[in-house]
Parts: sequence; C-alpha cells; structure tokens
Amino acid sequence: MTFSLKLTVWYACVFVAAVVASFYAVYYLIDDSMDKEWRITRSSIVTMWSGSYAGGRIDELHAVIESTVPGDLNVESHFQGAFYKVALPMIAVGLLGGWLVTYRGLRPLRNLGQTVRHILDTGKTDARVPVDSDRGELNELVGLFNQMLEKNDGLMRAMHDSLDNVAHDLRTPMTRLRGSAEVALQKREAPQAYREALKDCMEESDRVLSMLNTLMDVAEAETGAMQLEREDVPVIEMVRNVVEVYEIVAEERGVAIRTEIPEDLLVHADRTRLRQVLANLLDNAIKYSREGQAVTIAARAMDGYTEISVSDEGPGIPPLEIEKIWDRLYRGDLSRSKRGLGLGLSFVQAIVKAHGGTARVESKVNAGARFRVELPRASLP
Amino acid sequence: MRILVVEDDKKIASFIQKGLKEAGFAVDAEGDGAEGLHLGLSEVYDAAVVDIMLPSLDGLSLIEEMRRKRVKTPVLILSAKRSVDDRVKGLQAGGDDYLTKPFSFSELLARIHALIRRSTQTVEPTTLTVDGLVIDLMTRRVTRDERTLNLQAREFALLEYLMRNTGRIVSKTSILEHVYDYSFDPQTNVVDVLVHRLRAKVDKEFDEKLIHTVRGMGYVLGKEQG
Repeated sequence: MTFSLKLTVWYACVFVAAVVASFYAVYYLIDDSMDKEWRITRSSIVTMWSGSYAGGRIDELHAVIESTVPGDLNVESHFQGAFYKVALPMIAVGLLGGWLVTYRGLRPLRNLGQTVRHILDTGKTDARVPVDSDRGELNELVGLFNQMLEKNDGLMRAMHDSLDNVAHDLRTPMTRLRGSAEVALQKREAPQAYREALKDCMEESDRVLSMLNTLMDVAEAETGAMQLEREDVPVIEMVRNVVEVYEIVAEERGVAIRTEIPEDLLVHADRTRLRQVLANLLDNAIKYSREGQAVTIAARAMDGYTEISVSDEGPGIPPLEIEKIWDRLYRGDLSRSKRGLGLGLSFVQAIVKAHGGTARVESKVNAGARFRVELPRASLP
Repeated sequence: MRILVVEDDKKIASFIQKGLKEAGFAVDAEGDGAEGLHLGLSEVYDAAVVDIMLPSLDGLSLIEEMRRKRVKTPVLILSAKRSVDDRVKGLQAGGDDYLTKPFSFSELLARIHALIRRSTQTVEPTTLTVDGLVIDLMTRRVTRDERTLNLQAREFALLEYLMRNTGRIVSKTSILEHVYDYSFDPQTNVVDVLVHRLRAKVDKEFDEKLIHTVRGMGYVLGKEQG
C-alpha cells in the first residue's frame, strides 16, 4: 500500500471515529438532561441510533424509543436501515476528505521528489524545491533540504575554484623544474654539471610537493572538507612544543622568544593544525626579526574564546600590503627576499576559520607586527 | 635478505628494485595484486613493500589475506593517500609501516631496515660507533677519539638518528619527524641550523668530517667516499 493511501484510510478511520464519538456524546447529553418537557424528534433519535450502535446501550435506547414513538415501529430494522443510510456516506466522506487532505499535505514531499529526480536526471545542482508558506514541519524539511543543496553547490564551486588555483600555482614551480632538466640536457656537459642540475630538480620537486600539500590543506580548510579532531588543548603545551622547534634558529639569529601564557588556559582545537598555525606565525616573526629583537607569544582568555598572539619588533607591514598578506601566494616587497612559499598566512587564515575563529593583524611600519588568533575555548554548538 | 615488492607502476617498481638490489637485498617484483599474494604466501621474505592500488587485488586485501594465512612478513605500505584515516586503515589491515608517495628512496630503505630489525628482534645495541665517534644510548654520553662532547638533547637526538642510518642519506623531512616528532614543513631552515650546530661540536675540531650535506636530498653521516 502506498504511503498516501495509508494516510487516506487512516484519515477516514479517524473521521468516522470522531463523528461516532460526537453522536455518542450527544446521546449521553440528551439522556442525562432529558426531562418530561424535552421533545425528542424522530430525526434526533435516528441520529442517536447511529451513534449508539457502536457503543451498545441498546436497552436504554429501546426504553427511550418505546416511551416516545408509536409501538408498531420495528426498532431493530429501523435502526439498522438508518445506520447504513448514515454510516456509509459518512465513510465515503471520510475517505474523500482523507484523500484531499493527504494529497494537499504531501505536496511538499512530491515537490522534493521531483526536484531530486530533476537533479539526478540533468546533473544540474542549481534546482531548488519550491517552498509553500503554510506547511509547518514539512516546509522545514524542504527548507533544510534546500540548504543542503545550497551547501553542496557551494562546496562544489569552491572545490572547482581551488582546483583551478592549485593548477595555476603549481605551473610556475613545474616550469622551473622542467627548465632545469631541459637546460642540462641541451648541452653535453660534464657529469658534475648534470649532478648539479639533478640537485636543482630535487629541490624544485620538493618545493612542488610541499606547495601541493599546503594548497590542498588550504583548499580543504576553506571548503569545510578538512577533518578537525578537536579537543581541549592546553595552550602552553602547544606553544612550548612549537618554540622547541624554533629555539635553536632563534638563538642563532640572536632573537629572543618570550612566552606569556597562563598555565591553565585551554583552547578547543585540532592539535596538529594548531601547531602548524603557531609554527607559521612564529616562523614569520623570527624571519622578520633582527638580532637583539624579541618575539613574544602571549595568550589570554577572552569572553568565550582564547586569544593567542605572536608579536615581533621587526619592520612591520606597510599599510598598502596589510590587507593582501592573507591572500594566497601574495608576497610583499620585503618577503620576496625570504624563503617561503607565500602560503603561510593563507594557511593560518584558512585553518583558523575552519575552527570558527578569526585571525587578524595589527602593524605599524618600523614598530613590528602583532598577529592575533582567536579560537573558541569550548566546543561550538 | 629477500624482499617482495608489489607495485604496478613500472617506473616506481624498477627504481625500488634497483635501489634495494644496490643495498644488498634480493628482490622479487610483481605488478599484480593476486600474483603478489601468491608469491607472498608461497615464498619466504624478510619484508614486503606493497602498493595499495593494484590490479586484480588491492594491497589492503592482499595484506589481510597474508595475515589470515598467518604469514608474518613485515609489510611496508606505499600509498598516494596521506590522510590519517588511510594510514590507520593500512595499519589495521595488518601493515607494519606506511609511506606516502612521493617518497625518497633513502627513507624507504631506512624503514625497511627498521622493519627487519624489529621483526628479527635484533638486540638493540646500547652504543653506536662510527669511526671513533661513539654514543652511549643509555648514559647519553658522546665521545669522539676519547674526547667527551657536550650535546644538547636535540643535538643528541639528531646524532643518534644519523648514526642509526650511517651511510644512508636522511632527508630534512624525516629528521623533522624523528627528532622533533613534527610532520610539517617549516619554511625556515630549522633542520639546517640544528645540523650546523651539531657539526660545530662533532666535526669542527677534527680533520675527518663525518656529517655531510647532500644538496637536494638531505644529510648523511659517515666517512667521506671519494
């Protein structure tokens, strides 16, 4: 049996039961309030009969009828005839009403089905289910379904865009890689020259790989496809961990690393990713610091989130560049002479956003830069 | 020592085979999953290198089948998938280690050595010696030509890692992973700086240099060859 047929029958049953029940109630009302002055008309009795048939109390009915109608009336047969006359149309009305209500009520579901079929048939994901304004829960479902379609569509678009970007970004290092090999092969050279060319190729291919990995991470984080294993992590542990990697480099450069972090401060984040975010920021800060300067990593609890900041005393970021530094592969004038892929900050931005946080920077020329990352302290709803 | 290599990409298979032979292993290479399984079950190997995407039978099923038949050959999984999920799946299927493509051959070799060492339960040496340079893993004392060298914890960890792989090139990435337990490419030359420091202590005052840079590849510890 189809779902709508089932609903129709159920509706009919409920309708009949409701009518029967109301007659029964009327019968009782009359029974209770009947006194000598109450005049029971024939039609009201018929109404009562059909009502009481389902509920019994026939004896009482007999008594009532006998005291009010002429004796020659055959109560049983009259009663049954009236029942068919009244009950059958009642069931018919119930079924019809049930069908109408079901048909109208299920319209959002039919629309949903049509839309899905359309998407499956045509592959066009921009179709949406039409929304009726008066369909309560079903409409909510349809709305959610549309939202899901919208999100999928957005994800697909973003994936497509980032694929384009990745392809574009990889072309440059691939060209260099190919160039090194090609130039070496064009001339007959000494083995040593070939070796050098091969070493160039190795370095370049490592660069391509590390770029590819970072680009994929950024793309995954931006599109929401990145799986984050979030837990409550003590900030101090994360920071120590990252400082450990960089302390020798900092020492060699004569840059001091200071940390100002409360012992018990937590952040709700993915350990590995957070470590990478901090490493990127610290990497930058040390890179732009001169001997004798200091880099400070500080953290504090704010209202509902944890703020971690990495500040340096370096050359700062020119106002014209400050908005662009988060862009993929953007490299400021100062940055061009440094090692790096130009992906560090877009990685930071993407990861922090994927955590539901924000990353900001404040800087003045010649007065250092302060990168602030705000991350949720407890799990998001 | 005999190694089974199941890899369907001919170029990759041949460079693994060539490299392993040069390192003194006997190698059987197979490009088909079912054939590879047949070899793995009928012959005795000290270790196996198995790709995941294979024709006729995928690598994970191959390993599962080997384990079901109680073959305990240690298996190194090769795969282009690098997510944690994929690694976990590989190890759950019965693999012993997991290496993602692209990989450096020296890394592959180091891991195969480690797998064989673990499976044959060679007694861990407590000291490592390379040409007058001795490190005691228990007391953490380092001497070269009887002179004590004072190394910081990280420097010691790096030296230990280099000495365990004496004569083999170790990449910067694998140093980061082993010395810092850090699988991320920092843009600053963290590893170079650490190696530089270690050199200052281990090599600077001695005529024979032991730590060498191989540009484009990484570092190697051992006597200079040619």
